[in-house]
Amino acid sequence: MKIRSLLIGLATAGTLLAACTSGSTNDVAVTTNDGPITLRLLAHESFTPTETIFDDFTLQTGIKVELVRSSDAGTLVTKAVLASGNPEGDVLWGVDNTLLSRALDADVFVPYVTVHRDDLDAVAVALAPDGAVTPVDSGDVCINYDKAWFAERNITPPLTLQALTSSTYRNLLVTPNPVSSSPGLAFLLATIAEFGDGWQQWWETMRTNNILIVESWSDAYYGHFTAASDGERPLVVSYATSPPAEVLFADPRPTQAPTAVAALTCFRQYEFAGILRGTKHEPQAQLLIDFLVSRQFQEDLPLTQFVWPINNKASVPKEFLDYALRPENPLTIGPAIIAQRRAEWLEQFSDIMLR
Amino acid sequence: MNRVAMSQPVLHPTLGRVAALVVALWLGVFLVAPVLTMTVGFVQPADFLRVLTRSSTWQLVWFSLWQSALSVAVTLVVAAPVTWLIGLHHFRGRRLLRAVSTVGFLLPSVVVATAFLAVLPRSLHYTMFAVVIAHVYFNIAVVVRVVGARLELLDVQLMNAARTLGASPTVVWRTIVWPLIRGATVAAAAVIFLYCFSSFAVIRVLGGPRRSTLESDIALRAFGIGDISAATVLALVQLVIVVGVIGVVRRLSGREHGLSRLATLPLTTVMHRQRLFAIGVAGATATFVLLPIAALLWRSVQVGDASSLAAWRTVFDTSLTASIRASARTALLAGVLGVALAVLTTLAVVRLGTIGRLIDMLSIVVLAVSPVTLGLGLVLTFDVGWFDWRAQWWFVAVAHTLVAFPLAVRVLVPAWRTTPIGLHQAAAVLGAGELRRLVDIDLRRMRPAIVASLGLIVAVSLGEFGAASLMSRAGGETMPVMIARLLSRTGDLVRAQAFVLASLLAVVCIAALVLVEFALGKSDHVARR
Repeated sequence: MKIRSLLIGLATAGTLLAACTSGSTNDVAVTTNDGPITLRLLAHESFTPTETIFDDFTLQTGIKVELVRSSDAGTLVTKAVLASGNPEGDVLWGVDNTLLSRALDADVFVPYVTVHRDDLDAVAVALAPDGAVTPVDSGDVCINYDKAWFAERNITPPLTLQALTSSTYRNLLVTPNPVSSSPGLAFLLATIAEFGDGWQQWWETMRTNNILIVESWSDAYYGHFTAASDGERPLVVSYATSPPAEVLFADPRPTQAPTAVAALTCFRQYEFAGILRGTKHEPQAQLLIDFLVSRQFQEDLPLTQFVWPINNKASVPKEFLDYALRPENPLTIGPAIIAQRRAEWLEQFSDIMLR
Repeated sequence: MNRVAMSQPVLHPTLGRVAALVVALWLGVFLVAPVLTMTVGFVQPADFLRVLTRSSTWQLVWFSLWQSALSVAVTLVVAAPVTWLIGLHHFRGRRLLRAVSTVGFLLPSVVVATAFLAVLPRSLHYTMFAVVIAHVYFNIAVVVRVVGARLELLDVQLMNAARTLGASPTVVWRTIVWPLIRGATVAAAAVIFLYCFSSFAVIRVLGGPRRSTLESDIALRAFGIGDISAATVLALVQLVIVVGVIGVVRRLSGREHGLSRLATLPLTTVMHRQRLFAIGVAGATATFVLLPIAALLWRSVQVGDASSLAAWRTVFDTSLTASIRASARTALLAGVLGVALAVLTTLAVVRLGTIGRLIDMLSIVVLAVSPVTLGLGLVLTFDVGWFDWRAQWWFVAVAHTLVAFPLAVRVLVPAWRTTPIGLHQAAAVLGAGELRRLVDIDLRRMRPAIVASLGLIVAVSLGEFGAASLMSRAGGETMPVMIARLLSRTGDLVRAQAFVLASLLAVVCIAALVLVEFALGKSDHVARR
């Protein structure tokens, strides 16, 4: 018994020791100049590229990439802001236009102008003209509707945000909470972009029209949307790329998407990547940024993450083009204005809708 | 009453002091330092004024308080029959029932909340009923484990004697049963209260956007709105309230009973007239616990509208296996470290007077520090040079020891207090040193309780989501984090995969618990011989 207890104690100490040493060797591997350099790429949980894709980058440059994911975009940016100048990694993927100014104000990134700049979507590049961050993809948040539901009842689906206030669409819309969900926030911003100061009134009308606000996107889509659950709401706030996902992930694949998108209700989101200020590997990090906006990486995006490439030269797979909608004039608001007023808007929203 | 309570005088305190020092160091480094970092780094006096004068803050406080009080009351009522059955009776399938009734506690709250959404009729979504019933689901285990373990120490002969002498069931309850389990009941209630008070996922998913506890609002402020200062002030408010509540509870509960007994007493059999009731209790509890798990399994074979095993075929997909591996190794390390920490804490609590009580108190307060605050604090504190542990996989395990060890302490302290002082005295007379007595008497007698607490810590770590989701980690996310990620993506297959992982987690937890139960059973058996 005594010996066994001693063994347990030793095992504990051993594990601790092992933990400590393994930690320090890692540190050395990153900082040494002799061995291969490993870059740490920070991202949110929705960053899910093909798993082997960085092998090619390593092959081309000799630099390894360690992908470290945590939480959602909001949390990722909050943590990056708090650790500004002493970053957890070298490159960050996933700050979007609703969060961009918060990161820029906190001086989180070191600027770098990528060699592919001229190939990138000019509107997105203009959002960070000094190259503090580089745009990497884009997507739209829009009203999705259940085609069969509306066809069966001979009702026209709503085409605009204004139309939604009609009593025809009473009890039909479900949206994720803007305070806790990124598509929810995008939708709130869509209404602000559309109605300006009248946005609060629109929401009040929607309240009487019995809009349902739920906690998360998945709760809205898979808990209440008629096309994706046993729910009772045929209108949902989701992504413009949800219809292709409905097709591509189904087994067997249907010939037509069961859902469609109301193009005039879309709010455009851009995602950016940047080199974190304080990195010890700035030149290598620049190569990684170039890789992230290269054709090879960009062409991987649509079918793994259901977003559009930002590199105009990247080709988009046919099955994605067939089912995804690309709204021509999406709603949008400048990142600086969002950063300035976001907290205030969310408080006002909570007062109107949640109390 | 006092006569019994005096059977545990303070022993030589040296070992206790060493233990207290180690525990204090661990908590100081991994708990106090992060909380201080947050407070000093991000809060100005003006922030206190701003947050404390807002009426919504006090609404949050009030809601957090009453919903936890309600949840505690309902949990105690719902858990009472099954605790009585398991704690006092011997019957076939007892261990299985005990394992099953503990499962709920271990499942990640994100998963359970999702399962409840699937099981409950739509009209009950976003209601207090849904919130309370989910809280009950998680916390039945606490009552069964903490109060049940105490009931096992009840001498049934004593009850029978009292009955024979003409005492009514009420008198037996008041004079024999209640004095024995009062401490454990209050401890269980306190633990449940704290868990419900800092409830996060259940409130968000089942309570809906219109209900917020302090804890869920802290996360929204910090990450949704980006107001770290306000979030930290709210976290401090939460801490103060919890310490206050614990203080009040302690005062109310008084000191716990010591017991002096050598061997494990045999449990009683279920009487004939109670048989139907017992079967009903066991059946109802098992159904309640297993129904949401069955819903998970059902969802895992639903791809879109069709039944299909497609998602199960992808289990050996590299990313899924990676997360299973990550969970296993994190839980294992958390288990080993957590048990060490819990045993040391227990040693300090039972061997020292005032300091022991302080450490005891501290070990409960830990439960009140929200995983969100803790995760963020750890990440912001250990960020320099050799102490830059932010992306190390084992750092998540360190956070898990903090989240889980208080629970193990609740299991260990009452068990440890059952050691008769006479054993120590006899051993001392025979020349055994203090360390020798600790190992040969206390730890040996504690073996089943230690195994049980190892199981609990491993399980808590397997299911923990809040801190793990916040701390970055290289080389694989733990299963709850992976499940949450899969749940938040489009596609029927991805969604079914999330439920596959959730089912696996539930099955692994049940298997682990059954194993622990039978390991315990074996050692019980040996000890009795």
